[in-house]
Amino acid sequence: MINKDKMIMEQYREDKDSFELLGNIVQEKLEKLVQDAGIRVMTVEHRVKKEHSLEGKLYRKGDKYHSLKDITDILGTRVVCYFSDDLDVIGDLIEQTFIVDRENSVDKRKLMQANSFGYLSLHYVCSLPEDAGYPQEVCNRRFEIQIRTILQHVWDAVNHDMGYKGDFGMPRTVTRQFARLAGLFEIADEEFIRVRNNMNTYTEQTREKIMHDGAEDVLIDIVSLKEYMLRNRKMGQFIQKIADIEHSEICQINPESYLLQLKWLNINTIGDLQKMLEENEALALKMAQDALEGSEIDIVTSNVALRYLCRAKLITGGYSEQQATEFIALTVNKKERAEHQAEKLFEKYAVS
Amino acid sequence: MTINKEVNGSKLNIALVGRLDTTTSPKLEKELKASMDDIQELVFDFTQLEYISSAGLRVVLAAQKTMNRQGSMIVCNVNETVMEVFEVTGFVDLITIV
Repeated sequence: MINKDKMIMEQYREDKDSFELLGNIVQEKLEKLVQDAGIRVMTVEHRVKKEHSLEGKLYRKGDKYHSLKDITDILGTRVVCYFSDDLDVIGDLIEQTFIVDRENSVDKRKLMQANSFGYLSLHYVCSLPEDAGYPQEVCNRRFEIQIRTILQHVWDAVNHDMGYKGDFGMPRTVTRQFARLAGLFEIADEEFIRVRNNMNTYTEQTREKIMHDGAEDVLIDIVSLKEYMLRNRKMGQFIQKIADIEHSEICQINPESYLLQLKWLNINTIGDLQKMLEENEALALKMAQDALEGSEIDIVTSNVALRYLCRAKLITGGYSEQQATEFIALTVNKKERAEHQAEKLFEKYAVS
Repeated sequence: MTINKEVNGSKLNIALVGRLDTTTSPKLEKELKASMDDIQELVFDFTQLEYISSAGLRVVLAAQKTMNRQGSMIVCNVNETVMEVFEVTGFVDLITIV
């Protein structure tokens, strides 16, 4: 190892702790940035380059570096997001938050020729702003931020695992296979955006229908049931009546666990659910009063409405006690408990 | 109420003895606040929990919300009285009871 490289390694050992501190600061900042912007990401991570890795880099590209400051990836941070259209949004946030070294920052997506497929991600070389109250020892240190999608991450991780370090050296057939996979993943990334957009459109359309009482024919699924429980006026009033029994706070929760129970009761559309509410509201409310009145329990979840409506339906819908046991056993794991609950239900509410 | 706490790496076991009510809930809340950083798996053992009130439900709810972000939470060995409270309030749909 030549003297210049020895000097760089010494400097690295002296500064390693500062880079660790910098890594924690940058990671925390990145996590807050994406969280505040409402962007869901798979991971935000960082690593400080290992000693042997830096030695290898100096061995391979030593002429390029004269001091530790020339090496921009001693600290590498990475944001892995779900959707490719979040890359630019996160990139904008980074540009607003850190000092970006434009000369060394690369948008690999733009470098790629139009008829080639390969590594696509957004790389920034940054440093912390000096006037933002960070410890002096971490300012003026450059670090790298990579932003990529999960699929870009998978592609690069496998590529890296197979020892791919540059454009040359890999057998042509393998290089071509990687390029084909990169193309496939690029299409898949776009398809994920379409899936998300379709889901958003469906949710908005369903919400509109439910808010304007036009959702009778909408099939019950996790989106329509959630929107119905949240936004239907009559259901909202029913939940409130239950809460009023003990002046309870209502905790809104996901009604997903009722999908199976509603299907069992042959409640397949929002119209069916609406009808079930209209026909069973009085009995369901009586059941809720019997369970909650005088209990001094002043918190209930929004799902209590479905609980008592389903139980009222078991009584009014012509089901037998045996069938009620089967229904309750969908969610109560002990058979004896399901039998006991069905027995009590019929004993108390069934009209002989 | 007694709180028996056991940390094993990123797993936190909390066994409660007695009643979780308005008087005792702040103690559990404080204990959880002090212990939940870096926890990925939270297990509540209710074998010896005799009763849970609204205040207790709120602490369980807050713990569930934290663990939704950090990992997972289960509640085990729930007696009949406590289970009935979970059922009539709909909390049974919010927490994983084993």
